[in-house]
Amino acid sequence: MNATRAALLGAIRGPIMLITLGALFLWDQSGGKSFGRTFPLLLIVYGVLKLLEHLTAGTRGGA
Amino acid sequence: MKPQSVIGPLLLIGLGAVLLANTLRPELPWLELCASYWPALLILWGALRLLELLVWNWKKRPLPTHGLSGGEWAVVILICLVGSGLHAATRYRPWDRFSVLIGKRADWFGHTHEFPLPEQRRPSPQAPHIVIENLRGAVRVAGGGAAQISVSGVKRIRALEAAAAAAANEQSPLEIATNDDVIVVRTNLDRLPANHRAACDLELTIPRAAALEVRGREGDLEVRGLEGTVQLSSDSAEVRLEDIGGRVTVRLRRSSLIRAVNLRNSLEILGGRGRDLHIENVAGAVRVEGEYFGEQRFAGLAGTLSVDSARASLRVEQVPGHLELDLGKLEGANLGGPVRFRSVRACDVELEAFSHGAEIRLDRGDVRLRPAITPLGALQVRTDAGDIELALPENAAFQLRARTARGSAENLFGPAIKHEPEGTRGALLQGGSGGGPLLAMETSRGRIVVLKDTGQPLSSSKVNRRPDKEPRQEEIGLPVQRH
Repeated sequence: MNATRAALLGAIRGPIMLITLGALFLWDQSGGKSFGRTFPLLLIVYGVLKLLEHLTAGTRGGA
Repeated sequence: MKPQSVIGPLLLIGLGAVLLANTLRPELPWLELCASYWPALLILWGALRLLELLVWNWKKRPLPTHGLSGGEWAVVILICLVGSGLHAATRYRPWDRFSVLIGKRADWFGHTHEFPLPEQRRPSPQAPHIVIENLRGAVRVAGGGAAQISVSGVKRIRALEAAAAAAANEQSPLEIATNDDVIVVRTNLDRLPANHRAACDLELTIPRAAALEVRGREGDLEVRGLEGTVQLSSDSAEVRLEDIGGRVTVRLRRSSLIRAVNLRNSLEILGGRGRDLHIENVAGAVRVEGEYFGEQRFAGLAGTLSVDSARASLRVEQVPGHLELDLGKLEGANLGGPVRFRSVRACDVELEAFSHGAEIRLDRGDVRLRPAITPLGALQVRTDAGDIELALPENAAFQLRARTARGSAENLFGPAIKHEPEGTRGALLQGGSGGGPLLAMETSRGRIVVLKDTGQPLSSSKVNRRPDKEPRQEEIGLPVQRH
């Protein structure tokens, strides 16, 4: 079950990064913060997803 | 078997739909919409892919290791680059920003030191040829009555230390060299090393009959009150010309404004890129070659006007009234035709009170014409996508042939014009009264309206008349024929 969750998290990482990227560019172009200032959010989102994946895989190992 | 993603086909369908919409509704600003909302494509793509993966997971299908492949990320990067470039090009005029950046590059360090240039006077012939060589800085020249030339101004040198600035000032003395009828004014800024950014603002008074030549790279140029020829060349300058009797030639690479008023001879503006052009009261021919992205306004031109750029060419025999041209519109009134206009970009045309007819060829754009001057001249109007409206004087003699390949045609002029169907989706208006010139109008896709000129502004008789405006046709008591 955990292996499936880890695989799912790994698979949806790309689309979520893509959505974040699109949202940041859209925010930039609609007069909000420029992408040059908000791009670290991409790293944060990527980090959070990797962490979740790692935690899910880790739970499986501990079980 | 590994399940196949549906995102690729869906994106292809979406791209096809956008291109189709562009051809069906060309009047909408698709380029600007794409430039503004392209990130939504990434969001949509990500959301669809996410949804797809969740469905696969729910159906217990095997999931890919990565949600997006390397090739897909390459496409994403390409979309980001193209979208950002498009956005920058449509909103921020990158060429302006670039020029600002170049202009300020040397102002990052040091201080500006100013050195006044005390007035120098030299006797001069009544009609000398005066050459001003000033690499950077503004030059203002005025014609005076005396047979002498006077030069004054200020030199600004940017340097880290005052001593270095003073040395640079001595290295670049202002010179006035006289050789028979030729007087050369040099600021010698080219002698300075590249790390000294210097500019000279000069004010000159020269004999009114003098011929003038100004050469520079950067700095505004202003000339007024001269009878001789004027030649200006610069890489970047705002130019103001007023009250000049001789031929004027302006060669620029960049300019945010060229303004010329009260010229009694011809004017040539050659080979530049810029923003605004304001030309008023010129007795001779006016020729403009170059790309101007702002407003080009012409008024009171007694000679031929010709404007040539990569996107449009315009020729008018006389402009006693006014004519404005910008990226999306040509608008004018009281013109001495024939008016010849060709645009390869989307452009609307609205002309009133012009004589000797017009030749208008547009790839895309609406045309509204009100010749209003009898006798009429021949008209040749063609647009590939756009509406055409023609308001004719009631007593005009003309032969009309107006055809739309796809769209409707309305005759609000009267029984002199007949309505006929054209093919399965088009319409034809033809007829005329009392001989007269041929008014030939054609649109591949759009509506054609021919009506009587009631003296009202064209904007009150919109081509895009909707059915709710129909009472107007009843008001004038005409049988309305509509395809």
